[in-house]
Amino acid sequence: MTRAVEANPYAPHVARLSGIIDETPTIKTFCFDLKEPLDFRAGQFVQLGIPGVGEAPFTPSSSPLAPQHLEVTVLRTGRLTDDLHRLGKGEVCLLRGPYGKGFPVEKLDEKDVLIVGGGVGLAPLRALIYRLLAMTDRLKKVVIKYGARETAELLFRRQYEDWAARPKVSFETTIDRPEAGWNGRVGVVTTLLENIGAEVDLANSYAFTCGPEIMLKFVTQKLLDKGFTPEQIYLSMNRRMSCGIGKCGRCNIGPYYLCKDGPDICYAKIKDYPDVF
Amino acid sequence: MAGPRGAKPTPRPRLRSRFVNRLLHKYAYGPQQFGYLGCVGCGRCIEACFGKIDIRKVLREICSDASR
Repeated sequence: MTRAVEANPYAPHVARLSGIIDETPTIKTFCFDLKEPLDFRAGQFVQLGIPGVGEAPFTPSSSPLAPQHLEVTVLRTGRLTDDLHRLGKGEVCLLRGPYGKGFPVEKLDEKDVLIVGGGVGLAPLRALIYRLLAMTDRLKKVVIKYGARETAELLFRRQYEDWAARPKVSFETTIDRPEAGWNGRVGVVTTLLENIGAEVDLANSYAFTCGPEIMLKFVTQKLLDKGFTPEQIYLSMNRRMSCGIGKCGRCNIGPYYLCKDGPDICYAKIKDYPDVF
Repeated sequence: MAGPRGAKPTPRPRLRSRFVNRLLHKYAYGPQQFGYLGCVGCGRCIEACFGKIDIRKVLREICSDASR
């Protein structure tokens, strides 16, 4: 039995934490074993909340193919996330969703897929990566570029080797500044895109990017410079959402609601409106 | 983040963004999304505005700028 968005779309479910993973000093993954699996597409979000504090949108980082083991990766960055991070195993929070459209996976047959992540942005992208790994026979290739501030902030680091070893998949990381013991690339994640024209078939690619807004701005600019068209670039945008279901209008960019038409929205749709970045 | 009163951080930190969005969401995005204006012309916003911003004046200025 699966749970779709129910009769009262605002009614949250009580979700019990079955486990908490300390990913980095500021990021934790919350694992929920739900009684009824939450069917979601990669990129759709849920609203996690604590009564009396508030709720915010988070995109599950677990595999859409394993809907009963929902995982949500959360960066501690403000009032609500502070309280979320204080929760322990067995405690509950409110969950409602999934909302949004998710990544347009149906467009990717016979395409090269470029994934660019920054910091905690790898969390929603991991759901996409899981989804793509289950359909590599339909894809040409998957190129993943990821950057974090420092090695301690490299999210899901234990999984990189496994992903890079998969057929058709390449995985490259960078950290912002040199660090003792790190022999890999140094620089912001856009430095990994310098030769992207040689790594993917520009005419038959899609790029999905997620990370801090400033990073989205520079990655989008870099991709456009390198020959991507706005129609090929999808940004996972998060805004101050309120209702999450396309009613209050708080998360709008132009006539598009990020909660309804996103949060993974095509750059071509939003590029001419104010306040994109 | 959504939440109880006082908890919500502002979605648009810059004044210009808030003003532009107020105008555009009523008269531009509304028609685009739903096919009708987001304003019925009741005038309560003009009467209530503490800053004495008359939205009719703003719209007239924009239209006259556009026709130049």
